[in-house]
Amino acid sequence: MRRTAASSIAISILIVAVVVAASAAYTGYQMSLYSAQVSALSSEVRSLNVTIASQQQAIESQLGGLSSQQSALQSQLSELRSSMEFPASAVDATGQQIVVYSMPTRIVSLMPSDTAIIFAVGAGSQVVGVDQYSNWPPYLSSLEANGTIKDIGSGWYPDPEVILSTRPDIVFGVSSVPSNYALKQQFASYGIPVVLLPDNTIEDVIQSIYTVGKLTGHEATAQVLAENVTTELRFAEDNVVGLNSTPTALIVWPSPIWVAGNGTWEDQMITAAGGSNVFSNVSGWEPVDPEALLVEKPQVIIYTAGHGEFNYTEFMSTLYQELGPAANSVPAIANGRVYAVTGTYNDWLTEPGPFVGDGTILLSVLIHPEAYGMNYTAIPHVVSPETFSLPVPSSLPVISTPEYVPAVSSP
Amino acid sequence: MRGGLLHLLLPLFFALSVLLGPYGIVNPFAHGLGSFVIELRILRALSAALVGVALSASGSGLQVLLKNPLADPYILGVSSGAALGVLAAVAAGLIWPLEISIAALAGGLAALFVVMAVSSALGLTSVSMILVGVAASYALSSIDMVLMMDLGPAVQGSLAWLFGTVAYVLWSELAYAAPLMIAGALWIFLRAGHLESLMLGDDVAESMGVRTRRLRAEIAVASALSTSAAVAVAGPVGFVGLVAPWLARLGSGGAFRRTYPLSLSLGASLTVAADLASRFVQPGGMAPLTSITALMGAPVLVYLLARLRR
Repeated sequence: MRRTAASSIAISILIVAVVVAASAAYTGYQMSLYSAQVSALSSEVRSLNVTIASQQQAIESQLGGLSSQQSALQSQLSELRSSMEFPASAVDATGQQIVVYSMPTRIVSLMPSDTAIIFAVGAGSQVVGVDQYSNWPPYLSSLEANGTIKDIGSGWYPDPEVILSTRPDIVFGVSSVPSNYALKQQFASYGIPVVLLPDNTIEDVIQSIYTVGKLTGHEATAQVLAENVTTELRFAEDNVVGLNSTPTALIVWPSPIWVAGNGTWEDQMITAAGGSNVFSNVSGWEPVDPEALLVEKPQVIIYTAGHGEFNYTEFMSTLYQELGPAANSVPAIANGRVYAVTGTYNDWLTEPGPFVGDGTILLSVLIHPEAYGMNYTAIPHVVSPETFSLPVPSSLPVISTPEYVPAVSSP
Repeated sequence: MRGGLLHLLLPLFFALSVLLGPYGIVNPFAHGLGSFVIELRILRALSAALVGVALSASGSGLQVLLKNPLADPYILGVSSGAALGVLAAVAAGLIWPLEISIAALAGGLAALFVVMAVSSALGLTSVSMILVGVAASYALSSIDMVLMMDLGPAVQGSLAWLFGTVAYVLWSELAYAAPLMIAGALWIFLRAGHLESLMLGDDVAESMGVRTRRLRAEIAVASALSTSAAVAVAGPVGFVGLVAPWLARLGSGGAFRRTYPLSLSLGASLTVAADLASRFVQPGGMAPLTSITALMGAPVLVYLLARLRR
């Protein structure tokens, strides 16, 4: 019986072992099945991921294509808009009605003030030639270096053939230079309009901005620019309103001394800035004897020092040599209110361009620092963007450097 | 004939002047912009040639008439008078090229009128004409200077008319000035025989039937006419009228009748060549014509003189 019991135990153990083994084998089998499934699934997931990524890429590239299409459409639209403005016509300083039938794409400018106006209204990418003295916007020199814009030499004494070699469709000059009139008549027979912009007064400058805007297809920008210039002028005038007008000498060329007299835009700027031009008795731009400073006794002397050509110390020592000890009888010299305006600020006072408003603000600060809560001792003798920033609120519109968008080449 | 080959210089320089320029070499039969460039160059070359002819005609005539080897077209005050005309016009707001050109012509002729009137009162001799002419030149120049100071920056734009250039000539200007220039040159040529007699002395000329006072007046008017017209076209271009007669004399020699045509052709060649050179001296700009005529003419003159001495 014991044997039977023992064998039955053994059998049952065996059965249990078999069952366990079988179940273990079964489980192992199941496990291997699962892991195969898992790996199949995970590879599926991976391939799905790849598909999603590639789809995403495709969508993204489609989106990019769409957005580039959109910008192309937009530029086409703006081109269409500006071409809608043609034929455009305007009257230049000679009274001639200038008609431009399509948007000019090859503009030549003969004067720095014209160049500045053309770029400021947004027609910079249509320019193919400028005179050698044009220096704004700052990237102009690199455009000349890479051949986008040709330097046509002096605009006072331009070579007609050099201008023709730029294949211009319109040329901008000024009404104060006789050779520009000769060019206008020569080019008239070739069907190339030469627009002479008026350049004597501030009103002339505003008028020029409108004329350039209209004839180059940028009327809206020109409108904004003209309004900004006017706002700047008004800002200066409002700041000095009610203040005594200070006798001021504006010397536009220091050696020998040339001053801006009556009938010049500089004279208007001095008046708007709360000064009285001590040389309003001379007409236009004239050389004066340094002794005239002893007679007129300006309280402020401002001279345009170019881009560093006319050193302040040299200018002062020349004045002392020429006038002797009497120099100190001139209030501006005695009080140290002689200012050398240089760098970009120099151009504001020497070009009848879009910066006449900024120039007037600068003059108003130099003539009436008290209107800006400053003492004149706080102003350096050499006034440039590096040494002195204008105390103006950020709300004031500024004439900023225009963006240069290369012309879209038509297919 | 000695010097005959020198006449070939004019067509040579004329052709070069039409073919070359800052625009590059242009097919003379081009259409569009190229044809404008060609037209511009032909107008320039033609004006330069006529101005050269007028100035050397005037210089040749005056050098013989005044028995002065240094006489030039401006010795009777024409250039300072013309400059005064230009400056007065610009000051008065007359700024169009034709207005400036006519003002130059009027100024030149007015100066001559004054010089002739004063020197006739003094006997109309060579010496009186030269001295009155020089005095008038200085007096007029002083007025020019005052006006220049007064005009300020506008002067810089008028320099083209004060220093000389043919870059801004218009057909309309040439249309009225060319006949005057040619008439002056022809008039002097028609009096070539009388001028040759005058070279032998006033008394000899008188005995040969030449009325010397009248001849002086005629040559002065003829030369002033062509000089003033030349100034009206190109401004007071210097040196050509002085040097071209000398180049002709040194180059070929012989009687006035012989050297006169050569001096006209050489004067024209020199002016055309100078205008051609003026396009290239300054990149992107032009040099005044007088600076080039003098630079090119002076060495040639010295060379010819040196050769003559050997």
